[in-house]
Amino acid sequence: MLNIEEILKISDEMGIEIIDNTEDKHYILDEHGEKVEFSMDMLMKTEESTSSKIELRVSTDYSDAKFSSSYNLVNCENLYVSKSVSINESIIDAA
Amino acid sequence: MEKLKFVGFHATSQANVNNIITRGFIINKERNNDWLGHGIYMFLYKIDAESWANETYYCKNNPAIIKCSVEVEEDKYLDLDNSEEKNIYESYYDEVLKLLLRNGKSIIFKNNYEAMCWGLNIYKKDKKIDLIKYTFTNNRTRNAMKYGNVKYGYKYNEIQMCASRNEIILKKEIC
Repeated sequence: MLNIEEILKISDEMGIEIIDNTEDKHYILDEHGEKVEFSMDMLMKTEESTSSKIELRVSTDYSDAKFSSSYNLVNCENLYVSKSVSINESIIDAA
Repeated sequence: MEKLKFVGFHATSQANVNNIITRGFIINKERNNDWLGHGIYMFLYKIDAESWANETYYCKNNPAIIKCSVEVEEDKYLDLDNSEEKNIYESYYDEVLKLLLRNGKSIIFKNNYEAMCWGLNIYKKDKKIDLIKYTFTNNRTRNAMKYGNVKYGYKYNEIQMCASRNEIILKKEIC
């Protein structure tokens, strides 16, 4: 294993805050910026927390052998999206 | 030592392609949210690289894909989809955290991604890991809508690889 100096050097290069240990704990900032005790279990939730928590209202319109679907974003919680979509914004997928 | 061979697809913009092909990749060490630590990121499948390039702000206007042929020594490859290797890594992470405490130091991570990046940066440096692979759930909305995220019971995933250095990427081609 790397020695403590090397670990501190990597942490410093990454700009990670290291403080004197007074409570025998490590910390992570929560969504409010508050320090909470860190545990590896929290990292297991990373993927879960980005899982699809969206609610779409879908309607389909058929006419003249063509159809279009309208996706309306009703709810979205903590979802990583490549393109921002606002609540109640509709996306029309025509074919 | 046996060498393992992989092909990966790197998503970028047209503006970066020539520099990458001629001079190699620049590893951004300023960003602390890299989930496989600092390195050169590739997708195992071209379709996922295309999806990333087409939808990511810095390359979506002129997306480009670079096919990378990678060779890595077996003992410098970390497969986090392999439970045995993942358990070894997690035990290592635990030991590093304990070592810090024993030396009177506590760490404050800004978020989960920083904690992931830090752990793998340390592990890579210590074990001289050249390539990491892991399968992530793909939560990008457009993909989920396009391919059906859980249609017939199968989640839409994407396999990512992170190379620690340019030297293990033996060949780069524009797709």
